[in-house]
Amino acid sequence: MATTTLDVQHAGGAVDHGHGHGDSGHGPTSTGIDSKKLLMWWFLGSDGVLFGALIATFMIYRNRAQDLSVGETVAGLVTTGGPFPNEILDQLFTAVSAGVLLFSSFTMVLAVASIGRGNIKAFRVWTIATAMLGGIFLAGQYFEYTEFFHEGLSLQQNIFGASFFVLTGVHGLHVFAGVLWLLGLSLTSFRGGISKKDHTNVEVAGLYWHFIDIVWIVLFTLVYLLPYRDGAHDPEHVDGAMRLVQAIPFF
Amino acid sequence: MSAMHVESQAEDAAHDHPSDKVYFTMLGILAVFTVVELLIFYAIESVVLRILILATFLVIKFVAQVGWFTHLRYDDRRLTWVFGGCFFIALAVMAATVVMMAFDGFHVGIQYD
Repeated sequence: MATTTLDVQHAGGAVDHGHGHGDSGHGPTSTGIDSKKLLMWWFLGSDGVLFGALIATFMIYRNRAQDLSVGETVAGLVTTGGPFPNEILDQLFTAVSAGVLLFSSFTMVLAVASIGRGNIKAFRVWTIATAMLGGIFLAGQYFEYTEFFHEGLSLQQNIFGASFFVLTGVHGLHVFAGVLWLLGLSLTSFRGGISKKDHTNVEVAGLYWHFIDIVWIVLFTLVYLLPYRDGAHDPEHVDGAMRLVQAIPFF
Repeated sequence: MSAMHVESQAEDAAHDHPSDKVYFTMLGILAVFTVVELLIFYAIESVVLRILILATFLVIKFVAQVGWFTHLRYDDRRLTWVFGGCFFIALAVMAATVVMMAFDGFHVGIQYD
């Protein structure tokens, strides 16, 4: 580290912490952190706030459809009854999807490590593998949405459908953008446009991809695994534990 | 670039980035957690217990993913503050939304008729 630090300090008065990666084609920054990387972290932070708002909305409405009578209006939607979450969510199928996305995070870190070592061939393999796993996740989401539509759940059907499709749909759009980004990187590498000096560009794409997986880790638990009320909600027939949980606004 | 410089950079990389073995171990841990989460969903009747365990698992998986796969624990500390700060704001947005809706009796404050 000593040699690197001294070099950079002499060049620009800034300290490279080993992650500024002076090989990104730009000079040292005043912060010592690569600008692209810093910008991506700011973007991910702000994107996290967007998902925070969407998740809060979903958590508020996740049990509302079960509480409403047919024809009642909430948030401008006239509710038309079910299907309700307990009737349609398939946790086993979604766990497999979550596993696919988790594995794609692993292939992504291997892609970043490969480009760091200058192994372009391995980089291509892992990047394409990551994009393919992202594609499998999207195919699973398409299958799930199609099943739900056949069951009668849509954006307009009830407040659960509206909040569910918006939340998971925004995440799906993020995955789609990530797949396009990774395919673009692969294509560029086949044209000879990627080398070890582009490590930061690949690392930034990797950060975005891991963020997508992080959001899905949260959504998998909050949307699919936490308990829902049954469709025909009757306060008189709720067990003690569920009554306690329902005292918390989310549930 | 001197041989010593190259050697120094290689040492940096070894210190700053975990090995493939570490990534593989993290993948295994996260996969096991996901399977256990699913088992908890089907096996544990108590709603309160299920929520507590799932919330704990969620935090562990979140920290593991952010810390290791995004390299944040090996990276400049200021990046942790950037992400942590934004995460705090996200939690504040969630809390504010819930409180507002709670005071409104969970009804959206727009009169349609």
